Amino acid sequence: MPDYHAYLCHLREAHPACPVPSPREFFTMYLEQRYGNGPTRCC
Amino acid sequence: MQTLLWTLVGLAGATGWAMLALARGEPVSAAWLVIAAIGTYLIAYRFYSRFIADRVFGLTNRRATPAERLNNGRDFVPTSRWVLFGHHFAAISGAGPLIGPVLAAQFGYLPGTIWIVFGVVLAGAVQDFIILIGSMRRDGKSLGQMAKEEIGPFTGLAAMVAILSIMIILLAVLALVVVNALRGSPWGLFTIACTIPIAFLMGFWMKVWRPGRTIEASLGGVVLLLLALVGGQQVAASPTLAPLFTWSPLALAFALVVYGFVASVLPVWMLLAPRDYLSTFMKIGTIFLLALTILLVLPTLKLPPLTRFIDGTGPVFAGKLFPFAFITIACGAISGFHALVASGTTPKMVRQECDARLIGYGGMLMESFVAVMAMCAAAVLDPGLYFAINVPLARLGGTAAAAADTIRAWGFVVTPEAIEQLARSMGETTLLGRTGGAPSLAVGMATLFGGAFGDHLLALWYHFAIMFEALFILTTIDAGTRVGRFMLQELAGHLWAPLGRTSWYPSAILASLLVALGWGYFLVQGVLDPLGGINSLWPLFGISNQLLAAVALCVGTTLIIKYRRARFSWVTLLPLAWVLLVTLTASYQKIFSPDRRIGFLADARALQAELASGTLDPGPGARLIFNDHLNAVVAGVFVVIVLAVILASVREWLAIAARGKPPVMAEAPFVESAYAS
Repeated sequence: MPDYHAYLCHLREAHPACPVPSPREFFTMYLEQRYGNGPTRCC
Repeated sequence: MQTLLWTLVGLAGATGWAMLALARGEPVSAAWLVIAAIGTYLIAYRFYSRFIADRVFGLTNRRATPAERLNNGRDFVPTSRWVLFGHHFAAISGAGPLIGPVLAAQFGYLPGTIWIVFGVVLAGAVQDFIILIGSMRRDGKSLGQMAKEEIGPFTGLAAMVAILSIMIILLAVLALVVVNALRGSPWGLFTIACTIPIAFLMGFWMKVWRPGRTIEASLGGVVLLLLALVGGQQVAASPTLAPLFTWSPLALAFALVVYGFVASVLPVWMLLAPRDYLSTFMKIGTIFLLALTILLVLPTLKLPPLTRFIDGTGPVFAGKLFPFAFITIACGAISGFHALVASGTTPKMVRQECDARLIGYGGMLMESFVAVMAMCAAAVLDPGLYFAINVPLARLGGTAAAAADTIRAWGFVVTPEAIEQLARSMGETTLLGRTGGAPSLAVGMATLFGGAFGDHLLALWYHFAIMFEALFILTTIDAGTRVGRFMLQELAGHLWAPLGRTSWYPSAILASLLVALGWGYFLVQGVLDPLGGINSLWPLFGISNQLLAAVALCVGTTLIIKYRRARFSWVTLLPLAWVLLVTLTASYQKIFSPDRRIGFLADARALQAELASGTLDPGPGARLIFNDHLNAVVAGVFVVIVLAVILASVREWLAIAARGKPPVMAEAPFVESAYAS
């Protein structure tokens, strides 16, 4: 689970115009990306 | 000093192997097995993985990783190497390294152990490491994309089809293991059923009440799960509740298919992610506990180093030591599936290039060590009891007395009383013919834990072990069905674009349904198979998993050649040649062997003869024959796909070697790292 505050710092630095997600939105975004691509579990 | 230390490690490993190899009849302690394995791992890690890192790929911390260059705080995040080691290990290790060795123990403990340890060092860990390096230097591209860009578009497509079909076989065989472990076991089923509400609770905790607090939700989940485990004993003892949780194999199979389908369409935070966290915690805890117990108890190996079944007459699964020991061990020695993780989330999180050695090579060594421990757990059982649990009922005879006679005829000492007493002490009504590996692993683990912490909790330990295995198999099933859904949607998107939109509900539901029905079909086929299904499905899985490894090793070889290190291409060519030799021999035998216990076609012919003579019912008979043909076709298709990939790769290698073709690579450009100074 990546750090929410580190993400905010990154947003402010790199994309100041982007809207800032709430912790809940950030968590959903993280999970969708974590489990959305390729396998997360092997055999 | 350094030299002295490494000489000692080498000597310790060599002593371990010598003790195993020279034992003639006298009892051997499991400690020697563990020492031999760890000594070999350390030497290989120190010397061979460093050789690959330095000489073959020239890993350097001066080159910035994608995590550093593309850091976005979400998927590209520079992560400390030990944390990432944990993530990567949790993602690659599943039920495979626990089950494979238990099944392969029918040949004795020695062949399996040798392949687990030397296979990982020379093949499995090399594959994981090299694919991780390749993906890390290509901004985290997947295995399929790398195959497409480095070898050719056809290879990319073939890899994708192969991955999807392997996934379907894998999910079916793992689900079958769960069905065999939970059938007629109210205690086990109750505990596993409880994990669903527990996961919902955790999901709401992590998402709604305390966003992002995954650790506290997981700890709470583990406590609830242990309560459910203890509660299961009461359920099993209750005359009203026990029948509610005593299910037939077929009912369990249908329930699993429905579960897989539902889990793959629900939002991930609700069921999939919390279960994943729960099973990761349980897994790492249990594996530590198992390692600690083996070192504490130092049990004696009761299984002989080699059994008479190396001749191919084995009752657990059919086929000779070569090639079937290497197919059966599967993930503990080499697993093509790992290449998907090593080219998925992990490469986007590596902080410095040289960390990849610990994560890629080291992570796989750890997986192999889990397989060695599973082998220990199988080998501490009395061989007679091992066969009583792992041989299909149809071969044993239905009663303990008949089973004891059958097993005694194979030359192993066992009494009907011992078989019945074992089931009672584990809190089950019977353990006869519980094929699939999980129950006998659980008995082995319970025996070890009982040896360390006292025998009065044996039944609890047994169900703890069953719960732990079923939990992370189910995690593979829900995650796998979901990934299969995405892959199918991606493939279908080429036919009609809207089908490729993963968030479009009709497409998501259709794809999930197709994937769940796909593995569900093979699962039901296994459940209805009079010989238990593991006999036909596990080799099919082992073959397909190693054929995927062959694809990964082809990609690895292509990378080595394109880096102009062709003189070191034996690093991947040797394991590739071995894996091909094993899998092609095994697939040939599975399809064409005249022995009906091995060959699908021979079995179909024998069934047809039985149909004609009237000794077999036409309904089930026709189904069994169709399944034999289907399995033969599946094995054949895998072989054709992989041979095509190999041919395409060899053509590319030769074109480069002849200097006619410049080695074009899709590598990301070199950027100086800020971490290096």
